[in-house]
Amino acid sequence: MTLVIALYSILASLSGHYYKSNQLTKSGLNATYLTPILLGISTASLVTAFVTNNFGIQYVAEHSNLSMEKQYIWVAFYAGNEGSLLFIAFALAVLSAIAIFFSPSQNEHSIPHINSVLMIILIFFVGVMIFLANPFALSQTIPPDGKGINPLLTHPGMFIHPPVLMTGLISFSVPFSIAMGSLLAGKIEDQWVDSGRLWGIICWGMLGIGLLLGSWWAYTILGWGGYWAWDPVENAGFMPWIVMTAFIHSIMVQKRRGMFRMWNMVLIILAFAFAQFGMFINRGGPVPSVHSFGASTLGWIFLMFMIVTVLISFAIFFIRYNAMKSSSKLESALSREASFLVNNLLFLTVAFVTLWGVIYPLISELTQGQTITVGQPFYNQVNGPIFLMIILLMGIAPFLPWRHTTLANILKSIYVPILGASSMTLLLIISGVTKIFPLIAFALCAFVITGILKEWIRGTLVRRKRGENTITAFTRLIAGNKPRYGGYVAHLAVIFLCLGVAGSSFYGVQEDVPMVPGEKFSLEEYTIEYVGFENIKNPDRTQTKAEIRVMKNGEFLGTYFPRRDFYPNFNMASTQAAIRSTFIEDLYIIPGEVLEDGNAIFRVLINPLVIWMWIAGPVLILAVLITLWPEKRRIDNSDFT
Amino acid sequence: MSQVINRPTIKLPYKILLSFLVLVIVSGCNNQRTTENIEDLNILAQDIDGKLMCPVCPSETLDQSQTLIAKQMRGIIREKLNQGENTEDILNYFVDRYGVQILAEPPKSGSYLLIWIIPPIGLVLGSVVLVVTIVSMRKKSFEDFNDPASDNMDKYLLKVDGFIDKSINKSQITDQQADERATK
Repeated sequence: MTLVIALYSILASLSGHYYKSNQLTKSGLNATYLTPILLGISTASLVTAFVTNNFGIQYVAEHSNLSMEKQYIWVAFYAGNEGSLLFIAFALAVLSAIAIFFSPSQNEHSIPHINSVLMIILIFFVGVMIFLANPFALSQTIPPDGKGINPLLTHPGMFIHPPVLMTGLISFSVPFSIAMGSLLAGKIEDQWVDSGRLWGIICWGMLGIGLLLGSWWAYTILGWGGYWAWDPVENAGFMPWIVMTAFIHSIMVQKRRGMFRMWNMVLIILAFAFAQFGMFINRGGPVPSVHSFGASTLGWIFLMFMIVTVLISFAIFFIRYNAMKSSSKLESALSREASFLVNNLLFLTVAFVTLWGVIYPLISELTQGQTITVGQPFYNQVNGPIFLMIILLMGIAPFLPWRHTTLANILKSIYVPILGASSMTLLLIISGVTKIFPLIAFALCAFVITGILKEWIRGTLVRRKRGENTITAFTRLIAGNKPRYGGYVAHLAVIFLCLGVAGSSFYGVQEDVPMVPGEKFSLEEYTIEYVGFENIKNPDRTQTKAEIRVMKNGEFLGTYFPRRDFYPNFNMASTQAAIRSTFIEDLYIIPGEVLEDGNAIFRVLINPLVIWMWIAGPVLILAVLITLWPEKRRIDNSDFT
Repeated sequence: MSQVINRPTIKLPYKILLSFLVLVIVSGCNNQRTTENIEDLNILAQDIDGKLMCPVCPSETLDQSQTLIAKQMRGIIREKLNQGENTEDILNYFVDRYGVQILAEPPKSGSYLLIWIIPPIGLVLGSVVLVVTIVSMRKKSFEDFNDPASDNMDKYLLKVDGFIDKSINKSQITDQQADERATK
């Protein structure tokens, strides 16, 4: 049904536009508002099928069973290929309706086109679902019990990581449609920039949080003590996020100075293409991953959709090429505009290096018949330095004014941050941090943080002179220029990420130690005592809980219960680590298989600074909120020019 | 009102920046968790774990995998280290048995060098494109500015002259006269 409605929406809104019939256009848009309701009904039916254990539906039988805890039904719904497609389609319908409803008046001319692009994308997903991957397909025979949900998914992180990530990925359709719609409608000077930027930042925030949630889930449940493995599916979500990061920066130049019009169009097409590529890899793509939704042939449909989208988008781009000339000129290489170009170069390099690593094994197999692996070490060595360069740029670029400046001015503004970085470096070397890569990373973090604090303190002090108290001054400082200060907060979140990554990657300590009950083990200042274990038999799994007492420098810190669950149905084990977090480091304990006599191999890790990565999450959300918070509109004559 | 725009001398600071960037890149090639004390075999073993893939798991290293075969392989690594073998020999041992795909990263030699070379080349090419773009964009803006044939600026410049005159000689010139002067 949704297919018909979406088709109608396109036809009505487009013909309404071309035949200048306001009513027809409105009708087309109203059809768009109907789609989330229809898909919502579908979603509700599938969830109901799970709740009522309707194993007559094949999808339900494959992803749940009678003994499954009810709270995981929501997770089971999108755990598989078909269900996740329904979720994505539903999310797209909701986002499209919101985007169209809240579309600003300056986009009015292009709305029918924007709407149509969105509906075409929706039709693709609904079409795939109807013809290739129907979540409501019936089983040939009704099994008495279902297979159950993948045990790795029964974790709080799984409630939100996949939905947020999938919503983040599909949300790229919105800024893409806004840009494409405006391009098609012929209105591609700067009318689309405001909503393009708004939605770009929203997508970026959602996908970023989705990625971070995935890392957090991996850290707590996968049991290896790491949080990012450059797995192909992780990369699939990472690449569009990086391109979108480039976009939300360079769109600022278009907003401010009407420049980079063509380039921003290219960027948003690329971002959407990477998002589609991500969906391709995710669904039975040719690259193995811990994430795969199971082998399916669907991947190729998504690949074709991506190729078609890219070809058509660039075709339209070239047709409208001439109308996109910039209205201003680049005056100097020492300017914020130029720094955004460098920013774009670095981010795109990261995206393409990651893409290169993902597809090279395929290229190698096709051309030389040689199977190779491109794993973590490759990405760390190649992307690592580029990330550092990005952080360096992050410390300098906010001090560059628009249009032009002099080198002397730049050096003057980064003088204090350089002092901060140098003092931190000295401090670190004295405390024993001597590995060069993390030293540079920490120095650069100090460089950026000093710069940000300098701006905040200076701004607050200026306002205080006018009689405001510190808190009011600081709040009003941020409110006075929300995009700028939201940007600073976002950069702060990135620095926290960098701290966590650098600390844990280079100064993490790990031991795999066999222990029997009663035994103690010491790692650095920590001593852990393996008190005993307990086996709990559940219908679908056996839980083994170990009791560990933790002491630091002789002082008792607490008792922890790391767990290992074995699922005979899936022949799979999942673990729940015991983690003691402080701002300085995490103590991380996971049990391996526990034998009859209680003998078990425990992996004990000390991971410095990891908590800062998770702190980055709420800081990122705060940054997005600050940046997008609407200004109080003062109605004056300038609104009517 | 035209003036010569001085090209800023930016050579030395860019050299410093470039050297810093080179330092960053070089350190990047050394950014694997290397052991500072080679005698600490445990750390070396964990390093090697991170360099090898688990043969049966989809995209997990030996360090990450909890499977039986991964545990066995980790045991073999520690045994060999205790017998005095070095990292390269151990890695080659597994490559001989499982093929080059057992390595977590392609070797930096032979035909595999291609995968390592392309990213830095890409970055260099991208930087060249960037520099060329910035230079050509700046050149265009110079041309517009210095082009006597472009009358966009002249109209506005005359208008500005008019208003300046008006404000200097407030009592002598009216708005209308200033406008007239500008549109001539």
